[in-house]
Amino acid sequence: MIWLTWRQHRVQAFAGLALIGLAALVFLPYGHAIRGAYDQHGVGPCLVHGTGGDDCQSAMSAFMSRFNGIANHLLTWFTPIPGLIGAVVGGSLLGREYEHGTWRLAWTQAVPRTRWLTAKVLLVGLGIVTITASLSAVFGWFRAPIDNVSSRFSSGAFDLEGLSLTGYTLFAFAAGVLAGQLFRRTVPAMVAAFAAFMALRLPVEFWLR
Amino acid sequence: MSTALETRDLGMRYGRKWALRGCSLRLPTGSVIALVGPNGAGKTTLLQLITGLLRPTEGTVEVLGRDARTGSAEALAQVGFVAQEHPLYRGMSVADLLRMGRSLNLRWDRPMAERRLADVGIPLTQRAGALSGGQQAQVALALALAKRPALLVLDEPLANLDPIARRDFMRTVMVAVAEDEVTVLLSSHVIADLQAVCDQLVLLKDGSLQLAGAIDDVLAGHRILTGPRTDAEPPVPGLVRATHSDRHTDLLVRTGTDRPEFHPAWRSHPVGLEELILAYLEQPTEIAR
Repeated sequence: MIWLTWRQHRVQAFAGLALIGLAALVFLPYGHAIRGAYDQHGVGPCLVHGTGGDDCQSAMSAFMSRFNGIANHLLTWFTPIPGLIGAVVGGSLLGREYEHGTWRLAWTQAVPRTRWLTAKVLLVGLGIVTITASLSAVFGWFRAPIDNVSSRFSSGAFDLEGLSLTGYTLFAFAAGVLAGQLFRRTVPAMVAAFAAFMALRLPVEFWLR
Repeated sequence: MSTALETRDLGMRYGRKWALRGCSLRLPTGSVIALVGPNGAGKTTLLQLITGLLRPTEGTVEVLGRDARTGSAEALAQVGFVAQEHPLYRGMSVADLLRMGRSLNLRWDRPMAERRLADVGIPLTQRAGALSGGQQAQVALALALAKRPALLVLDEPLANLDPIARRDFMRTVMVAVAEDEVTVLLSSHVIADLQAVCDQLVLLKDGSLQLAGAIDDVLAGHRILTGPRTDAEPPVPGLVRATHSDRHTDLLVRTGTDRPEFHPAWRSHPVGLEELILAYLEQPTEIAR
């Protein structure tokens, strides 16, 4: 099962690695710039010694006005990405087997289909966790100086750092697997899973948070 | 001779419609079994129940004494299946497909599969999607046989194949029957393809079993009676179907101990397989049993 899962999802795995690489390529230089400004404005010492002084206030607001907006803006477009990743990977897991008729090939080998599905969901889920956790690490590193000033719970930070990104993606993945079983076609399953993801994600973003 | 396949009161319902009902069969090992019936007769349903792809609504199905309903690894391992349109992962090479088979099966005879594919000239490096229909069928068959199954199930294996590909496919099947002593169950609506290779017949119509048994016994158990044309249905016991031409009436009857003495004007002669099957498929279902 491990070999088959890898063989069927390796293109998606490579795409995930490419996404990590791309994110690192974009955000590493930018993160360095932020760190440079962080030291230059003296934000670090200000946070340590309290933020009372006028000098510190102006230094911090100068730093934040320079980067916070851009950082949040750059990452806004990333909101649908977990939904896309999860829906594409999840929707193809069962949807493609049904669409091409290969379920009749897959489930007549000597692997009971419960075990087949369990192994696939766990292995692909593990891949998703690895890739999204790596992305979160890149974003976390990039935003670290800004987070020192605002907080990791500010909306730009929370959705991309720690476990949020992984959780979002796993949710969309689960929705995709389910949609594949229901629709028995790849593309409708992906669309339905992505729609379900956004239908939950946007209310959470705008009303519940 | 031991039993390869046994079903008891097997039934499968989709929603409110029964695709198959009351199917009780017992078929011997070492035979080549033809499953015949028109489209929608329940052939694919029966085959998918045997391979464990479907769980029956009622009844039991056993392959070599092992319950096929459980879908256990052991039950799956003893049945090789080539589904309709012989599906393959089109993006994979033939070698990848063999590798897949090895990783998903309890037994896996790769050298034999490679030899079979070499015999029909299919390179292992070729992508499955780039193969011709006949070659894809051969690859699907090689994958099913590499499991070293006791029962090989083929669902409409010859549909969509040209005559050469049909001949090559059946040749591979018959070699497997001879070499590996595998029991074969194949469905088809092309009767001519079956006559040369099959020794058992199972006839399905509208989800119910019409006829099952060794082809020789079935043929010996039926006669055609030809006589002067009679418009009334002749009161003949065991009548399956009456056909009328301008001057003659042909009666297909089941012969038995209750067979009456016919008027000397009725001539009796044996029936061919194709004629017999068509007669059963054409008659109204009510008088089938």
